[in-house]
Amino acid sequence: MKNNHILLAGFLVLAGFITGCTKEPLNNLTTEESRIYMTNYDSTVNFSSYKTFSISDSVTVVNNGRATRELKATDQAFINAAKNQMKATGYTEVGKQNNPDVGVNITRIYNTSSGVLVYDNYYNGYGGYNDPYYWGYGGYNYYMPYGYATYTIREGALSVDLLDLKNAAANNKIDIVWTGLIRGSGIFSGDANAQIKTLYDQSPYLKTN
Amino acid sequence: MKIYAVALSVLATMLFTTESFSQAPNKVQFQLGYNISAPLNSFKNDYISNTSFNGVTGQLTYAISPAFSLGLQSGYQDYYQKYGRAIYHTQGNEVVSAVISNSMLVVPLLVNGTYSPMGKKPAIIQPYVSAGAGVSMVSYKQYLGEFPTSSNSAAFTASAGAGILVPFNRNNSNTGFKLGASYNYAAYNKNGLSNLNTIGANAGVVFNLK
Repeated sequence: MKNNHILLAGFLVLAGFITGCTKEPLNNLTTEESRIYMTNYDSTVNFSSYKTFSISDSVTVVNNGRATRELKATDQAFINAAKNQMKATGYTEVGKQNNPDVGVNITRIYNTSSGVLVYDNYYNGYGGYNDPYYWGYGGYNYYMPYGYATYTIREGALSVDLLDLKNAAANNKIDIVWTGLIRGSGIFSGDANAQIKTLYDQSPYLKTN
Repeated sequence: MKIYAVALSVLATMLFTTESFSQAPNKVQFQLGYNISAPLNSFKNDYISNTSFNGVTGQLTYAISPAFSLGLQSGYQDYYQKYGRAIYHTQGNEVVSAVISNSMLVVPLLVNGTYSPMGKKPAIIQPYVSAGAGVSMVSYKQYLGEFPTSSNSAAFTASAGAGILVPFNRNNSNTGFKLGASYNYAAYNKNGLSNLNTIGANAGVVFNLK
């Protein structure tokens, strides 16, 4: 019996090691490391054909399928960061009434309900929350010619989208020609400039010449 | 969790079978050891190159003769590696910047044969060689940032090892401290890997159950 007790203790130690001593990778990640930065674009587009841009003056907030527009300090920080990156890549900012070649939309996305939001559906999936009328193309649909095959959004995310306004009238739709998507922890409390810069840095084709 | 449940059931089986085995004095033994393990080949090149210092092995053995024993071995080895932020081209024009964390938990269940050429007589050191085969339950988990993909599966596993037993008592060469090394092959062909081969070192104790 004594030996069996020793054996049992040994087994309990082993079971404890398996369940308790295996490494949990999430415990070894900083907030910054938890985030991923995804970009995708329409490869048929020559981004140097665009010269001017305008950026939306507020941020769209999609929360479980309901959309509002907001402008908190954090939103302004991301707007400014995107504006700076567009300028850094050579694009010239103009007012939206001056026929910009590219429109820039920024969206905060939350999806805490049981449903799963497939990213490339969100633009047309929620009743036109990003009203194309804002860009002077009321009644047009948005179109994203690419998608993120496997990624869905169940948590907070932030996206920056470049809209082809230059060819909207000719195409009879607004093509979303580039998307940057940030997912993970601490997005809205983190450094907006650094996060937006990461999206642009991994997209070297965003340039005017 | 399935892997843990299977491992625990294996251990429980080993525990409750000891009573009948232990009717033969000094023939039934238990070994408990600490393992380190270094990935090789595809496992090392494609997934984790870090050596794992997080492993434990338990083995219940039955001495068929003074020189030869059969054992049922289980335990676990946990592998982990974090790669700094880098850019990955995932599909089409999609690019992802991420810190990638790779982890692999391997829980083997092997039938082992051990041969101790000097086992018939007392000695200060008893060398041994061993060979085993069985199945490993493999828990694969890869994180892009905080986002995991995972899969659990089973893989045929074979192992060969050698080492020494330093008996506690020169007159009883069955029990003592054990030091050894092993080469392990696991047929794992998924998630971009073609095997889970490893080389390892272990240290532990061997004691009689009765």
